[in-house]
Amino acid sequence: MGTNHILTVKHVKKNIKGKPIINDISFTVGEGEIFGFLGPNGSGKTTTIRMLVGLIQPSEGEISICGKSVRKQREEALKYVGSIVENPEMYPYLTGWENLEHFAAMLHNITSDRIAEVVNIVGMDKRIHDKVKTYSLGMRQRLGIAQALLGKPKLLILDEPTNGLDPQGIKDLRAFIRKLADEGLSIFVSSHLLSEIQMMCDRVAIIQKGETLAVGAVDELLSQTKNRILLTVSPLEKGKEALQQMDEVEILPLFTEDMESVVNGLEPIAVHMDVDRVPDVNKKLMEAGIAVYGIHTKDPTLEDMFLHLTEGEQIE
Amino acid sequence: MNNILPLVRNEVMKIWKKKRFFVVLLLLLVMIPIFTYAQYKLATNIQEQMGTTDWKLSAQEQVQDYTNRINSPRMLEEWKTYYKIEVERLQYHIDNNVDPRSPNGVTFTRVFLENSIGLLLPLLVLVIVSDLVSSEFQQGTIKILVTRPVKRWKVLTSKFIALTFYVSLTVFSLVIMAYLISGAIFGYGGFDAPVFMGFQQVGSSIDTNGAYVVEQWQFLWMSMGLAWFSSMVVGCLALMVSILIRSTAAGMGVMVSTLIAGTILANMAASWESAKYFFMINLNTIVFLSGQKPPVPGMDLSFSLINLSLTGLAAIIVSYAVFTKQDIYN
Repeated sequence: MGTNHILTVKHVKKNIKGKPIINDISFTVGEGEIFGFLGPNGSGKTTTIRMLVGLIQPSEGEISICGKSVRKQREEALKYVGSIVENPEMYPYLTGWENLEHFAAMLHNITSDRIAEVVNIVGMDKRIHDKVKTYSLGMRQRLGIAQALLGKPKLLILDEPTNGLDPQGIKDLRAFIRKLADEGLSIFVSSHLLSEIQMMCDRVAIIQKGETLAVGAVDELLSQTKNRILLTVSPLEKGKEALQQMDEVEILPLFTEDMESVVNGLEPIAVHMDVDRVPDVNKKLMEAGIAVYGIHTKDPTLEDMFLHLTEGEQIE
Repeated sequence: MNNILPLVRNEVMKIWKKKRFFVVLLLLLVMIPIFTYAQYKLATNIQEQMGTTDWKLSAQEQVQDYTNRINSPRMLEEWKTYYKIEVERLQYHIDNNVDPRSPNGVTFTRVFLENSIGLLLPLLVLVIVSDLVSSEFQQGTIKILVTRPVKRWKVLTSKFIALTFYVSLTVFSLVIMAYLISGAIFGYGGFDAPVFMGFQQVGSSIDTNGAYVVEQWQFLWMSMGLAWFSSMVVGCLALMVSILIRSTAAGMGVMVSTLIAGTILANMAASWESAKYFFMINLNTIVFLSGQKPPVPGMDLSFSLINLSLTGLAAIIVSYAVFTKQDIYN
């Protein structure tokens, strides 16, 4: 992971019609890194992306790309960026190739060889001379990426790139993004799907209500997150009481998906404790005359972390 | 300037591929034959009413009559000018052996242009311009268009140049198609037919002191210039509306109803003098060339041109101010 900062966002705020939409967002994206931008719908992801590419002006704070301020040296900064904001939209009445030619004309020295190259990269050779209105969403997505790659950017911004793609398409996209990153491109991916970010990204910023809650390497953030162990015991109340009295055992609130681990119609108890304590806790419960039907250790996921950070506020 | 050229090419290409200009040509191709036929019917009707009398003979009689009146000492000076012009006109027809009542391609084109400048031509301009910016918003392509390393004002300028190109092309197409289609029926002559200019409407009478004769091609050329100018002003306004109202349908509605309101107002504004400050009332600048009655008394060519210039300029300023500054959310 490079130490050079390709994208720097410092204390960015945005008020829309007097209402604060983005309160305080800061993060950096390094060279060749896949950076996840995670937050529930309506948390300000797209608004932030719009500020990154200069579609809207931040009310406060500073955004710079490769050291160039998006506000003051807009054209200089945007030279280094390829982006798809929201949907991959192109001119439907033009062919894929004409669309690429159109946007190539807005950059410097993009030859038709380069256009052919990006078409090749996204694997669109066969349909590139068809009108865009005949394309499927997946093809539009690929054409959008081809457009974004035209100017050999240092930063690729993708807003919810897996929206509307089928599972195979998502898998292909993930591999494709990894390949681009390995070639030194920094990629900024926004998503409201935790699993996606977890599978795809090196680092992540988690935002909620226009504020960054956490920024860091995915592994690191996960290691800080409390593990969860689900215990299924009977009788339930007595079990809870016993667990409460034990040292270094913390009872956690239940999530809806915990109900999948219902055994014998018994509601589980979610606790946080060191895995090494499990045998001991089990023994103590038995001694107290409490029947243990199941112990299920769950690896921490970004979801746990997110729920932990947002105090149980649900996201998809 | 060198890096704006590819942008202009983009914009021209997009309008072309949207087939907007074909729509304009198609409309003209349907309408001009209809008007040509109407004109043809009119001409034959007149001929039937006049009977088969020798037009040359009656024209010569008229010339004689007018000459006598001019020489009469009791004749008022301003009337003398009028008759002099009439004599000149009739003499032309006699010399060239052309029936003054028979239509020709150039006359048809001139009259057609004169009648198109207020509504038809602006509507054709709208076909091309009304979604110039709003379609980018509706398609979402604006997000790519303004996140490329090109200044926003350059993007808008490229659109404006493309607009100018197509507006010019529309005016030319209207004139050329009117001439070619009507000429097939009426003949392609009439370039050097005399047309009178410089009449002025003063109160209820006509001031003919400044009147003079130009050849019809000159008149047509001047009319084209004025039609082009009016069309450009409509184009600028449509561009502004296309930026302010992101829905093409709503924008088109606003422009069309404004223009139609203008033609209605022009028919009843004679007693409401302040109406002359509306740009729509001023669109028909050709009336001042041919000396017809302006919609509101007291209007003249320079008033209308200044009014249109200011309107166009204001539209351009608003367009640039909004387009270069606005936050883009959709």
